[in-house]
Amino acid sequence: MKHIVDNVNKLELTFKTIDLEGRVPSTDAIEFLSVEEPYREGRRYSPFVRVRYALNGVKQDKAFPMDVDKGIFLSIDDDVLEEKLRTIAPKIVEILQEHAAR
Amino acid sequence: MLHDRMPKCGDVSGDEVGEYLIQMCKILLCLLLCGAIVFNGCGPTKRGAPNMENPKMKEPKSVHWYIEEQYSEIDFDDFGLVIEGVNSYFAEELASNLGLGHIQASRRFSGPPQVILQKRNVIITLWKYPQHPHNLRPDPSTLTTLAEVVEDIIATMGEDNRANIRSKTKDQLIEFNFGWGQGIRNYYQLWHNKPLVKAIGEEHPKDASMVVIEEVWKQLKQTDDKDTQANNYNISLQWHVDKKCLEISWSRGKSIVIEGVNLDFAEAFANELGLHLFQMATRYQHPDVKPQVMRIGRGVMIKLVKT
Repeated sequence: MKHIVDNVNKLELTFKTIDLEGRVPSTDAIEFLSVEEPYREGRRYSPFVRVRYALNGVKQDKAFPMDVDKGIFLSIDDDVLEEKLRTIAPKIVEILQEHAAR
Repeated sequence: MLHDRMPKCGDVSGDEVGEYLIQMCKILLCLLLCGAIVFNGCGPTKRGAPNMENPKMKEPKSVHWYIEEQYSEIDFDDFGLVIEGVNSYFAEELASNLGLGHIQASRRFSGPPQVILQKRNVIITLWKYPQHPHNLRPDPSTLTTLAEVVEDIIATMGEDNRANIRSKTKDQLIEFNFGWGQGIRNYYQLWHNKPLVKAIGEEHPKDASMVVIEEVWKQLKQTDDKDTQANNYNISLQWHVDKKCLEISWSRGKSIVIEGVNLDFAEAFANELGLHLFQMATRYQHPDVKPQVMRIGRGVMIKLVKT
């Protein structure tokens, strides 16, 4: 669990990390590493999560934002990439659901 | 600056000096009041910065229909969303789609509702996202065992209902067999589905629904809600820049979308509830995700009320 202060909201958020390595098929050069769920005061904060990934084997600083309720990636400007990620999102949602049910 | 405007002695009469001093006192009082308002964080809505994040805001609890006033209210714990211009059938359908059973009809609102915000001519829709577990309920006619029925009921129960059931003793459960029991008998078609009634171990649907209630109670008593609660976020408010609509979602795979309002309204809404307003510059909906949409009302009026 990482601990950060969200400067935009002035809220203390904690991020719970769920490992994805090997559980979601890679897309071209993108390998999906983990999902970070924001928590506040012990409860999930918002339907949004961020998906960490590696590009050509290099872990990226940026993450893909995702809406888990809708099962979609957000803010993907590249149309080709967005289409590829469409099939990935439901698989990640499924993993998160399994994890939550444990 | 004030010195420049200060009249010099001898230029004016004593009355004028008195009047001047009174005016200065008024100005100072105004400045003090303004200062107090600013420091207390009141005043107009601040863009994207709610006064305080409200972590206790909960999912919708029930849908009311007020017979005299002829309006429906979606009752969230701390506030209500009143919808005027719809009829009781809409309210009934809304309750069912929200997974809240039947409407709670009352003669009138208990005491006049404290209206915080209102807007006419809006379009309200209820969205259900198909992949969300709460929306993946099996067809009730396909269930064949007591365990399947109980699992289905528990999966769709809200926190408040779970806590309510847990708080009862076994002897008190009988009080549920009239209202909730009727819902179980109707939803799982116990009057027609004789094999299921038999599988539950009873002959009569009323006895079968009581067995289901007791089993739900037993299982809830054995489990702790802490983990499931932690996985549910509270209400989330999103402003969709492209579509210009306010989305109210909660962790049940459902959203209420209000079109016909502007960003100022959305910000005021979030500020009143003490919630952060997420501004979504992204595409409104994924083309592959086909949510079920129920149009609650077109050109209706909404009111945010404190309950």
